[in-house]
Amino acid sequence: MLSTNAFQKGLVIQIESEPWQIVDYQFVNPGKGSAFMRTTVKHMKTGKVVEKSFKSGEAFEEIELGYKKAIFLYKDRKNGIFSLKDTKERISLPIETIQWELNFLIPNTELDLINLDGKIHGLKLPAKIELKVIEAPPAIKGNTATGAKKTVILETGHNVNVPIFISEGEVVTINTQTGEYSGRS
Amino acid sequence: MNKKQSFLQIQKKRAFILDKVREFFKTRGFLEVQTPIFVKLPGMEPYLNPLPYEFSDERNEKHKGYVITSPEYSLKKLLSQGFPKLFEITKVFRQNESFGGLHNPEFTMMEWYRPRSNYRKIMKDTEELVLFLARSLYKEDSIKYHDQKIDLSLPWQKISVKNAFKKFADIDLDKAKTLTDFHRQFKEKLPENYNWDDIFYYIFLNRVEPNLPKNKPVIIYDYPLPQAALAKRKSSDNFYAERFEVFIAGMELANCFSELTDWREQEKRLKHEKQMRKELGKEIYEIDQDFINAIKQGMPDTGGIAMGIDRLQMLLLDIQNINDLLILPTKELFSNH
Repeated sequence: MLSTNAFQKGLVIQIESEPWQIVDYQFVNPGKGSAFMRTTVKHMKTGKVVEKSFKSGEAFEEIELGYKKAIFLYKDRKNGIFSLKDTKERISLPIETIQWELNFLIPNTELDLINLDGKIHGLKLPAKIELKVIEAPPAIKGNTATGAKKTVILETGHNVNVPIFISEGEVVTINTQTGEYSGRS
Repeated sequence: MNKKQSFLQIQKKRAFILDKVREFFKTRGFLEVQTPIFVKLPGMEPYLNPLPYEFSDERNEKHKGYVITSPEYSLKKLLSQGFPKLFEITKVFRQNESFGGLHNPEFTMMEWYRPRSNYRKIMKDTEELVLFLARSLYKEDSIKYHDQKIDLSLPWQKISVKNAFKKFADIDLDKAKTLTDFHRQFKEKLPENYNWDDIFYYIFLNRVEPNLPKNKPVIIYDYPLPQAALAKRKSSDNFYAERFEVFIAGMELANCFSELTDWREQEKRLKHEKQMRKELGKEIYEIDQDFINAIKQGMPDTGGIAMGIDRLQMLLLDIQNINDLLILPTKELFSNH
Protein backbone atom coordinates (compact mmCIF):
# COMPACT_ATOMS: atom_id res chain seq x y z
CA MET A 1 0.00 0.00 0.00
CA LEU A 2 1.08 3.50 -0.78
CA SER A 3 0.09 6.57 1.21
CA THR A 4 -0.47 10.09 -0.10
CA ASN A 5 2.88 10.95 1.52
CA ALA A 6 4.56 8.85 -1.15
CA PHE A 7 2.71 10.44 -4.06
CA GLN A 8 4.88 11.22 -7.05
CA LYS A 9 4.14 12.42 -10.51
CA GLY A 10 3.81 9.45 -12.85
CA LEU A 11 2.97 6.92 -10.14
CA VAL A 12 0.09 4.61 -11.01
CA ILE A 13 -2.36 3.74 -8.23
CA GLN A 14 -5.61 1.89 -7.97
CA ILE A 15 -8.68 4.00 -7.21
CA GLU A 16 -11.98 2.12 -7.06
CA SER A 17 -10.35 -0.83 -8.87
CA GLU A 18 -9.19 1.31 -11.80
CA PRO A 19 -5.63 2.30 -12.73
CA TRP A 20 -4.95 6.04 -12.47
CA GLN A 21 -1.68 7.84 -13.00
CA ILE A 22 -0.81 10.81 -10.80
CA VAL A 23 -0.35 13.90 -12.96
CA ASP A 24 -0.04 16.43 -10.17
CA TYR A 25 -0.76 16.81 -6.47
CA GLN A 26 -1.02 19.62 -3.97
CA PHE A 27 -1.20 19.56 -0.21
CA VAL A 28 -4.13 21.54 1.24
CA ASN A 29 -4.86 22.14 4.89
CA PRO A 30 -7.53 24.64 5.83
CA GLY A 31 -7.04 23.91 9.53
CA LYS A 32 -10.68 23.06 10.16
CA GLY A 33 -10.33 19.35 9.48
CA SER A 34 -7.70 16.88 8.37
CA ALA A 35 -5.23 17.87 5.69
CA PHE A 36 -5.98 16.67 2.16
CA MET A 37 -4.06 15.94 -0.98
CA ARG A 38 -5.68 17.55 -4.00
CA THR A 39 -4.63 15.25 -6.80
CA THR A 40 -4.93 15.37 -10.57
CA VAL A 41 -5.09 11.85 -11.98
CA LYS A 42 -5.24 10.44 -15.47
CA HIS A 43 -7.08 7.21 -16.23
CA MET A 44 -4.46 4.89 -17.70
CA LYS A 45 -6.70 3.40 -20.36
CA THR A 46 -9.08 6.19 -21.35
CA GLY A 47 -6.67 9.09 -20.79
CA LYS A 48 -9.43 10.97 -18.97
CA VAL A 49 -8.01 13.54 -16.53
CA VAL A 50 -9.89 14.39 -13.33
CA GLU A 51 -9.23 16.00 -9.96
CA LYS A 52 -9.70 13.88 -6.86
CA SER A 53 -8.93 14.84 -3.30
CA PHE A 54 -7.96 12.39 -0.59
CA LYS A 55 -7.36 12.70 3.11
CA SER A 56 -3.67 13.04 3.79
CA GLY A 57 -2.26 9.65 4.78
CA GLU A 58 -4.88 7.60 2.92
CA ALA A 59 -3.36 4.50 1.32
CA PHE A 60 -3.76 3.01 -2.15
CA GLU A 61 -2.74 -0.16 -3.94
CA GLU A 62 0.16 0.44 -6.26
CA ILE A 63 -0.30 -1.13 -9.69
CA GLU A 64 2.28 -3.48 -11.15
CA LEU A 65 3.23 -2.17 -14.54
CA GLY A 66 5.29 -3.53 -17.37
CA TYR A 67 7.77 -1.24 -19.07
CA LYS A 68 9.23 -1.17 -22.56
CA LYS A 69 12.45 0.66 -23.30
CA ALA A 70 12.00 3.34 -25.91
CA ILE A 71 13.43 6.59 -27.20
CA PHE A 72 11.63 9.84 -27.85
CA LEU A 73 11.77 10.84 -31.52
CA TYR A 74 9.79 14.06 -31.94
CA LYS A 75 6.41 15.63 -31.40
CA ASP A 76 3.99 16.89 -33.98
CA ARG A 77 0.87 18.98 -33.42
CA LYS A 78 -1.08 16.10 -31.91
CA ASN A 79 1.27 13.41 -30.69
CA GLY A 80 4.58 12.61 -29.11
CA ILE A 81 6.29 9.95 -31.25
CA PHE A 82 8.43 7.22 -29.68
CA SER A 83 10.32 4.23 -30.99
CA LEU A 84 10.58 0.94 -29.09
CA LYS A 85 14.21 -0.05 -28.60
CA ASP A 86 13.89 -3.73 -29.46
CA THR A 87 11.43 -3.77 -32.38
CA LYS A 88 11.81 -0.15 -33.58
CA GLU A 89 8.00 -0.01 -33.61
CA ARG A 90 6.63 3.57 -33.62
CA ILE A 91 4.32 4.53 -30.78
CA SER A 92 2.24 7.73 -30.62
CA LEU A 93 0.95 9.28 -27.42
CA PRO A 94 -1.43 12.27 -27.52
CA ILE A 95 0.31 15.48 -26.46
CA GLU A 96 -2.34 16.39 -23.91
CA THR A 97 -1.69 13.17 -21.99
CA ILE A 98 2.06 13.78 -21.69
CA GLN A 99 2.28 17.53 -21.23
CA TRP A 100 4.45 17.40 -18.12
CA GLU A 101 6.80 14.81 -19.58
CA LEU A 102 7.29 16.83 -22.77
CA ASN A 103 8.91 19.57 -20.68
CA PHE A 104 11.95 17.31 -20.40
CA LEU A 105 12.08 15.41 -23.70
CA ILE A 106 14.53 16.05 -26.50
CA PRO A 107 15.05 13.65 -29.44
CA ASN A 108 16.83 10.42 -28.50
CA THR A 109 16.06 10.67 -24.77
CA GLU A 110 15.77 7.14 -23.39
CA LEU A 111 12.72 6.35 -21.32
CA ASP A 112 10.25 3.65 -20.36
CA LEU A 113 6.85 3.33 -21.96
CA ILE A 114 4.19 1.95 -19.63
CA ASN A 115 2.70 -1.33 -20.71
CA LEU A 116 -0.64 -2.24 -19.16
CA ASP A 117 -2.65 -5.25 -20.37
CA GLY A 118 -0.62 -5.43 -23.58
CA LYS A 119 -1.04 -1.80 -24.58
CA ILE A 120 1.10 1.30 -24.17
CA HIS A 121 -0.44 3.90 -21.85
CA GLY A 122 1.91 6.75 -21.07
CA LEU A 123 5.54 6.90 -20.12
CA LYS A 124 7.91 7.01 -17.21
CA LEU A 125 10.74 9.51 -17.29
CA PRO A 126 14.17 8.90 -15.80
CA ALA A 127 14.34 10.60 -12.36
CA LYS A 128 16.91 13.04 -13.70
CA ILE A 129 17.48 14.40 -17.17
CA GLU A 130 20.28 16.57 -18.52
CA LEU A 131 19.23 19.54 -20.60
CA LYS A 132 21.02 22.46 -22.18
CA VAL A 133 20.30 26.04 -21.16
CA ILE A 134 19.43 28.00 -24.30
CA GLU A 135 18.56 31.33 -22.76
CA ALA A 136 19.91 32.80 -19.55
CA PRO A 137 19.70 36.40 -18.37
CA PRO A 138 22.92 37.80 -16.95
CA ALA A 139 23.07 37.86 -13.15
CA ILE A 140 21.48 41.04 -11.81
CA LYS A 141 22.71 42.81 -8.73
CA GLY A 142 20.06 42.61 -6.02
CA ASN A 143 18.91 39.28 -7.33
CA THR A 144 21.15 37.42 -4.98
CA ALA A 145 19.11 37.12 -1.80
CA THR A 146 17.14 33.97 -2.38
CA GLY A 147 20.07 31.59 -2.53
CA ALA A 148 20.86 33.52 -5.70
CA LYS A 149 18.42 32.34 -8.34
CA LYS A 150 17.52 33.33 -11.87
CA THR A 151 15.11 31.89 -14.40
CA VAL A 152 16.54 30.29 -17.54
CA ILE A 153 14.98 28.56 -20.55
CA LEU A 154 16.00 24.99 -21.35
CA GLU A 155 16.26 23.51 -24.84
CA THR A 156 12.80 21.97 -24.40
CA GLY A 157 11.28 25.40 -23.69
CA HIS A 158 10.84 24.60 -19.98
CA ASN A 159 11.61 27.44 -17.56
CA VAL A 160 13.60 26.67 -14.46
CA ASN A 161 15.19 28.57 -11.58
CA VAL A 162 18.93 28.01 -11.37
CA PRO A 163 21.83 29.47 -9.39
CA ILE A 164 23.07 32.70 -10.96
CA PHE A 165 26.44 31.19 -11.97
CA ILE A 166 24.74 29.06 -14.67
CA SER A 167 25.23 30.53 -18.12
CA GLU A 168 23.81 30.02 -21.58
CA GLY A 169 24.96 26.82 -23.31
CA GLU A 170 25.62 24.96 -20.09
CA VAL A 171 24.03 21.56 -19.45
CA VAL A 172 22.10 21.20 -16.18
CA THR A 173 20.46 18.26 -14.43
CA ILE A 174 16.73 18.56 -13.86
CA ASN A 175 14.63 16.60 -11.39
CA THR A 176 11.73 15.38 -13.54
CA GLN A 177 9.45 15.03 -10.49
CA THR A 178 9.58 18.65 -9.47
CA GLY A 179 10.84 20.20 -12.69
CA GLU A 180 13.52 21.89 -10.61
CA TYR A 181 17.25 22.30 -11.06
CA SER A 182 19.18 19.63 -9.23
CA GLY A 183 22.75 20.32 -10.29
CA ARG A 184 25.34 21.18 -12.88
CA SER A 185 26.17 18.40 -15.29
CA MET B 1 4.76 32.12 -12.99
CA ASN B 2 5.02 35.34 -14.87
CA LYS B 3 8.54 34.94 -16.21
CA LYS B 4 9.05 38.62 -16.83
CA GLN B 5 9.33 39.37 -13.10
CA SER B 6 12.79 39.16 -11.62
CA PHE B 7 13.19 38.18 -8.00
CA LEU B 8 13.99 41.77 -7.07
CA GLN B 9 10.89 43.06 -8.88
CA ILE B 10 8.74 40.52 -7.03
CA GLN B 11 10.11 41.70 -3.68
CA LYS B 12 9.50 45.35 -4.63
CA LYS B 13 5.89 44.56 -5.57
CA ARG B 14 5.40 42.62 -2.33
CA ALA B 15 6.57 45.67 -0.38
CA PHE B 16 4.25 47.89 -2.42
CA ILE B 17 1.30 45.58 -1.68
CA LEU B 18 2.07 45.69 2.06
CA ASP B 19 2.24 49.51 1.96
CA LYS B 20 -1.11 49.63 0.18
CA VAL B 21 -2.71 47.18 2.63
CA ARG B 22 -1.63 49.41 5.51
CA GLU B 23 -2.86 52.50 3.68
CA PHE B 24 -6.24 50.81 3.11
CA PHE B 25 -6.77 50.07 6.79
CA LYS B 26 -5.25 53.24 8.23
CA THR B 27 -7.38 55.52 6.05
CA ARG B 28 -10.39 53.60 7.37
CA GLY B 29 -9.35 54.30 10.95
CA PHE B 30 -7.95 50.90 11.94
CA LEU B 31 -5.18 50.76 14.53
CA GLU B 32 -2.21 48.60 13.64
CA VAL B 33 -0.94 46.52 16.57
CA GLN B 34 1.79 43.97 17.20
CA THR B 35 1.08 41.04 19.50
CA PRO B 36 3.45 38.26 20.60
CA ILE B 37 4.51 35.53 18.20
CA PHE B 38 5.78 33.47 21.12
CA VAL B 39 3.01 32.55 23.60
CA LYS B 40 2.50 30.14 26.45
CA LEU B 41 -0.73 28.66 25.14
CA PRO B 42 -1.50 28.56 21.43
CA GLY B 43 -4.84 28.08 19.64
CA MET B 44 -6.73 24.88 20.39
CA GLU B 45 -7.76 24.04 16.79
CA PRO B 46 -7.68 20.23 16.77
CA TYR B 47 -6.26 20.02 13.26
CA LEU B 48 -3.42 22.51 13.65
CA ASN B 49 0.00 21.59 14.97
CA PRO B 50 1.68 24.54 16.70
CA LEU B 51 5.47 24.58 16.93
CA PRO B 52 6.74 24.08 20.49
CA TYR B 53 9.42 26.53 21.55
CA GLU B 54 11.63 26.57 24.60
CA PHE B 55 13.79 29.39 25.89
CA SER B 56 15.66 30.42 29.02
CA ASP B 57 15.50 33.57 31.09
CA GLU B 58 18.45 35.37 32.76
CA ARG B 59 18.58 32.79 35.60
CA ASN B 60 18.71 30.03 33.02
CA GLU B 61 15.23 28.94 34.01
CA LYS B 62 13.49 27.17 31.14
CA HIS B 63 10.12 28.31 29.78
CA LYS B 64 8.08 26.26 27.41
CA GLY B 65 5.64 27.76 24.96
CA TYR B 66 4.64 27.79 21.35
CA VAL B 67 4.88 30.06 18.37
CA ILE B 68 1.44 31.19 17.30
CA THR B 69 -0.68 29.62 14.57
CA SER B 70 -2.69 32.86 14.55
CA PRO B 71 -2.72 36.09 16.61
CA GLU B 72 -6.45 35.68 17.31
CA TYR B 73 -6.36 35.17 21.10
CA SER B 74 -4.13 38.20 21.69
CA LEU B 75 -6.22 40.43 19.45
CA LYS B 76 -9.44 39.37 21.17
CA LYS B 77 -7.85 40.15 24.54
CA LEU B 78 -7.34 43.70 23.25
CA LEU B 79 -10.90 43.94 21.95
CA SER B 80 -12.21 42.87 25.35
CA GLN B 81 -10.31 45.82 26.85
CA GLY B 82 -12.30 48.15 24.63
CA PHE B 83 -9.79 48.60 21.79
CA PRO B 84 -11.19 50.10 18.57
CA LYS B 85 -11.09 48.38 15.18
CA LEU B 86 -7.62 47.02 14.66
CA PHE B 87 -5.40 44.99 12.37
CA GLU B 88 -2.18 43.04 12.62
CA ILE B 89 0.24 41.68 10.05
CA THR B 90 2.38 38.97 11.63
CA LYS B 91 4.33 35.80 11.05
CA VAL B 92 2.59 32.56 12.05
CA PHE B 93 3.84 28.98 12.10
CA ARG B 94 2.24 25.60 11.49
CA GLN B 95 3.74 22.13 11.45
CA ASN B 96 2.97 19.20 9.18
CA GLU B 97 2.37 21.32 6.13
CA SER B 98 4.08 21.10 2.76
CA PHE B 99 7.26 22.99 1.93
CA GLY B 100 5.91 24.84 -1.07
CA GLY B 101 2.85 24.91 -3.27
CA LEU B 102 0.23 26.81 -1.28
CA HIS B 103 1.94 26.28 2.08
CA ASN B 104 5.11 27.20 3.92
CA PRO B 105 5.53 26.33 7.63
CA GLU B 106 6.23 30.02 8.35
CA PHE B 107 3.91 32.47 6.66
CA THR B 108 2.46 35.96 6.97
CA MET B 109 -1.04 36.38 8.28
CA MET B 110 -3.14 39.49 8.48
CA GLU B 111 -6.08 39.69 10.83
CA TRP B 112 -8.49 42.57 11.21
CA TYR B 113 -11.37 43.04 13.64
CA ARG B 114 -14.35 45.38 13.71
CA PRO B 115 -15.95 45.71 17.16
CA ARG B 116 -19.73 46.38 17.23
CA SER B 117 -20.00 44.79 13.82
CA ASN B 118 -20.29 41.38 12.15
CA TYR B 119 -19.09 39.25 9.24
CA ARG B 120 -21.18 41.14 6.66
CA LYS B 121 -19.10 44.28 7.09
CA ILE B 122 -15.90 42.23 6.88
CA MET B 123 -17.09 40.75 3.57
CA LYS B 124 -17.29 44.28 2.24
CA ASP B 125 -13.81 45.16 3.59
CA THR B 126 -12.39 42.07 1.90
CA GLU B 127 -13.92 42.83 -1.50
CA GLU B 128 -12.85 46.45 -1.35
CA LEU B 129 -9.32 45.62 -0.19
CA VAL B 130 -8.57 43.18 -3.00
CA LEU B 131 -10.10 45.51 -5.61
CA PHE B 132 -8.13 48.46 -4.19
CA LEU B 133 -4.88 46.46 -4.45
CA ALA B 134 -5.55 45.40 -8.06
CA ARG B 135 -6.30 49.02 -8.98
CA SER B 136 -3.17 50.24 -7.20
CA LEU B 137 -1.00 47.71 -9.04
CA TYR B 138 -2.59 47.59 -12.49
CA LYS B 139 -5.19 50.39 -12.63
CA GLU B 140 -7.73 47.69 -13.50
CA ASP B 141 -10.66 45.93 -11.82
CA SER B 142 -9.28 42.52 -12.74
CA ILE B 143 -6.15 40.44 -12.38
CA LYS B 144 -4.67 37.65 -14.44
CA TYR B 145 -3.77 34.47 -12.63
CA HIS B 146 -2.43 31.36 -14.33
CA ASP B 147 -3.72 32.54 -17.73
CA GLN B 148 -7.18 33.18 -16.28
CA LYS B 149 -8.65 36.66 -16.11
CA ILE B 150 -10.33 37.19 -12.74
CA ASP B 151 -12.96 39.89 -12.54
CA LEU B 152 -12.79 41.59 -9.13
CA SER B 153 -15.61 44.10 -9.60
CA LEU B 154 -18.09 44.45 -6.74
CA PRO B 155 -20.13 42.90 -5.32
CA TRP B 156 -18.55 39.43 -5.37
CA GLN B 157 -20.60 36.30 -5.78
CA LYS B 158 -21.77 34.77 -2.50
CA ILE B 159 -23.20 31.35 -1.82
CA SER B 160 -24.07 29.72 1.49
CA VAL B 161 -22.44 26.42 2.38
CA LYS B 162 -25.90 24.90 2.59
CA ASN B 163 -26.82 26.00 -0.94
CA ALA B 164 -23.44 25.00 -2.34
CA PHE B 165 -23.77 21.46 -0.95
CA LYS B 166 -27.32 21.23 -2.27
CA LYS B 167 -26.41 22.56 -5.69
CA PHE B 168 -23.15 20.74 -6.36
CA ALA B 169 -23.39 17.56 -4.27
CA ASP B 170 -27.16 17.18 -3.84
CA ILE B 171 -26.75 17.02 -0.09
CA ASP B 172 -29.11 18.62 2.39
CA LEU B 173 -26.76 19.68 5.18
CA ASP B 174 -29.72 20.21 7.53
CA LYS B 175 -30.09 16.44 7.36
CA ALA B 176 -26.37 15.67 7.55
CA LYS B 177 -25.69 16.33 11.19
CA THR B 178 -24.17 12.91 11.76
CA LEU B 179 -21.79 10.74 9.79
CA THR B 180 -24.50 8.19 8.96
CA ASP B 181 -26.69 10.99 7.60
CA PHE B 182 -23.90 11.91 5.21
CA HIS B 183 -23.44 8.34 4.02
CA ARG B 184 -27.18 7.90 3.55
CA GLN B 185 -27.52 11.01 1.39
CA PHE B 186 -24.46 10.78 -0.82
CA LYS B 187 -25.21 8.91 -4.05
CA GLU B 188 -21.74 7.40 -4.36
CA LYS B 189 -19.61 5.49 -1.92
CA LEU B 190 -17.87 7.70 0.61
CA PRO B 191 -14.50 6.72 2.03
CA GLU B 192 -14.56 4.62 5.18
CA ASN B 193 -13.01 5.76 8.47
CA TYR B 194 -13.35 9.47 7.75
CA ASN B 195 -14.91 11.49 10.58
CA TRP B 196 -17.62 14.12 10.07
CA ASP B 197 -15.16 16.95 9.39
CA ASP B 198 -13.22 14.79 6.92
CA ILE B 199 -16.37 13.87 4.99
CA PHE B 200 -17.49 17.50 4.96
CA TYR B 201 -14.17 18.58 3.47
CA TYR B 202 -13.98 15.56 1.14
CA ILE B 203 -17.29 16.53 -0.44
CA PHE B 204 -16.31 20.18 -0.45
CA LEU B 205 -13.04 19.50 -2.28
CA ASN B 206 -14.37 16.89 -4.69
CA ARG B 207 -17.77 18.35 -5.49
CA VAL B 208 -18.17 21.95 -4.45
CA GLU B 209 -14.83 23.58 -5.10
CA PRO B 210 -14.32 22.26 -8.68
CA ASN B 211 -17.70 23.82 -9.57
CA LEU B 212 -16.96 27.28 -8.21
CA PRO B 213 -16.46 29.94 -10.90
CA LYS B 214 -12.83 30.42 -11.92
CA ASN B 215 -13.18 33.88 -13.44
CA LYS B 216 -14.26 35.69 -10.27
CA PRO B 217 -13.90 35.43 -6.48
CA VAL B 218 -16.51 33.56 -4.45
CA ILE B 219 -17.50 34.02 -0.83
CA ILE B 220 -18.83 30.87 0.83
CA TYR B 221 -20.71 31.66 4.03
CA ASP B 222 -22.56 30.16 7.01
CA TYR B 223 -20.68 27.01 7.92
CA PRO B 224 -22.07 24.14 9.99
CA LEU B 225 -21.17 24.55 13.64
CA PRO B 226 -18.50 21.80 13.80
CA GLN B 227 -16.59 23.81 11.18
CA ALA B 228 -16.69 27.08 13.10
CA ALA B 229 -15.42 26.73 16.67
CA LEU B 230 -14.80 30.44 17.27
CA ALA B 231 -17.82 31.77 15.40
CA LYS B 232 -21.19 32.93 16.61
CA ARG B 233 -24.25 30.86 15.81
CA LYS B 234 -26.80 32.31 13.38
CA SER B 235 -29.26 32.06 16.26
CA SER B 236 -29.43 29.84 19.32
CA ASP B 237 -29.94 26.14 18.43
CA ASN B 238 -29.10 26.93 14.81
CA PHE B 239 -26.86 24.36 13.05
CA TYR B 240 -24.95 27.11 11.22
CA ALA B 241 -22.50 29.73 12.39
CA GLU B 242 -21.50 33.07 10.90
CA ARG B 243 -18.28 32.14 9.17
CA PHE B 244 -17.20 32.84 5.61
CA GLU B 245 -14.29 31.91 3.40
CA VAL B 246 -12.99 33.63 0.32
CA PHE B 247 -11.91 31.57 -2.68
CA ILE B 248 -10.06 33.05 -5.62
CA ALA B 249 -8.74 30.80 -8.39
CA GLY B 250 -9.36 27.74 -6.22
CA MET B 251 -7.20 29.23 -3.46
CA GLU B 252 -8.54 29.68 0.05
CA LEU B 253 -7.54 33.27 0.78
CA ALA B 254 -9.30 34.25 4.00
CA ASN B 255 -11.48 32.96 6.81
CA CYS B 256 -13.88 35.18 8.77
CA PHE B 257 -16.17 34.88 11.78
CA SER B 258 -18.76 36.87 13.56
CA GLU B 259 -16.81 36.24 16.73
CA LEU B 260 -18.22 34.16 19.52
CA THR B 261 -18.80 36.46 22.51
CA ASP B 262 -20.46 34.04 24.94
CA TRP B 263 -17.65 32.93 27.26
CA ARG B 264 -19.50 29.86 28.52
CA GLU B 265 -20.06 28.63 24.98
CA GLN B 266 -16.44 29.48 24.13
CA GLU B 267 -15.11 27.51 27.08
CA LYS B 268 -17.36 24.58 26.21
CA ARG B 269 -16.15 24.51 22.61
CA LEU B 270 -12.48 24.78 23.63
CA LYS B 271 -12.92 21.86 26.06
CA HIS B 272 -14.45 19.89 23.24
CA GLU B 273 -11.53 20.79 20.97
CA LYS B 274 -9.04 19.79 23.64
CA GLN B 275 -10.78 16.43 23.87
CA MET B 276 -10.58 16.10 20.07
CA ARG B 277 -6.87 16.85 20.16
CA LYS B 278 -6.51 14.00 22.62
CA GLU B 279 -8.48 11.62 20.41
CA LEU B 280 -6.49 12.63 17.33
CA GLY B 281 -3.24 11.99 19.20
CA LYS B 282 -2.13 15.64 19.00
CA GLU B 283 -0.05 17.53 21.52
CA ILE B 284 -2.18 18.57 24.52
CA TYR B 285 -1.96 21.87 26.37
CA GLU B 286 -4.21 23.84 28.68
CA ILE B 287 -7.01 26.15 27.64
CA ASP B 288 -5.85 29.78 27.81
CA GLN B 289 -7.94 30.95 30.79
CA ASP B 290 -6.84 34.55 30.22
CA PHE B 291 -8.57 34.32 26.87
CA ILE B 292 -11.78 32.98 28.45
CA ASN B 293 -11.57 35.67 31.16
CA ALA B 294 -11.12 38.36 28.55
CA ILE B 295 -14.28 37.30 26.78
CA LYS B 296 -16.06 37.09 30.13
CA GLN B 297 -14.99 40.67 30.84
CA GLY B 298 -16.99 41.75 27.83
CA MET B 299 -16.12 41.14 24.26
CA PRO B 300 -18.32 43.29 21.99
CA ASP B 301 -20.03 41.75 18.96
CA THR B 302 -17.18 41.67 16.50
CA GLY B 303 -16.42 40.67 12.95
CA GLY B 304 -12.90 39.31 12.48
CA ILE B 305 -10.92 37.75 9.67
CA ALA B 306 -7.59 36.07 8.93
CA MET B 307 -6.10 36.49 5.48
CA GLY B 308 -2.98 34.85 4.07
CA ILE B 309 -0.80 37.71 2.91
CA ASP B 310 1.54 35.47 0.92
CA ARG B 311 -1.40 34.00 -0.96
CA LEU B 312 -2.80 37.46 -1.58
CA GLN B 313 0.57 38.45 -3.04
CA MET B 314 0.71 35.26 -5.13
CA LEU B 315 -2.72 36.04 -6.61
CA LEU B 316 -1.90 39.66 -7.33
CA LEU B 317 1.51 38.87 -8.83
CA ASP B 318 0.47 35.76 -10.77
CA ILE B 319 2.76 33.40 -8.86
CA GLN B 320 1.61 29.78 -8.52
CA ASN B 321 4.12 28.43 -6.05
CA ILE B 322 4.80 30.18 -2.74
CA ASN B 323 8.47 29.17 -3.12
CA ASP B 324 8.71 31.57 -6.07
CA LEU B 325 7.40 34.39 -3.86
CA LEU B 326 9.22 34.05 -0.54
CA ILE B 327 12.74 35.06 0.33
CA LEU B 328 14.50 31.85 1.39
CA PRO B 329 11.45 29.57 1.63
CA THR B 330 11.63 26.67 4.10
CA LYS B 331 12.18 24.23 1.26
CA GLU B 332 15.39 25.97 0.28
CA LEU B 333 16.62 26.10 3.87
CA PHE B 334 15.67 22.61 5.04
CA SER B 335 15.12 20.22 2.11
CA ASN B 336 17.92 17.93 1.01
CA HIS B 337 17.63 17.63 -2.72
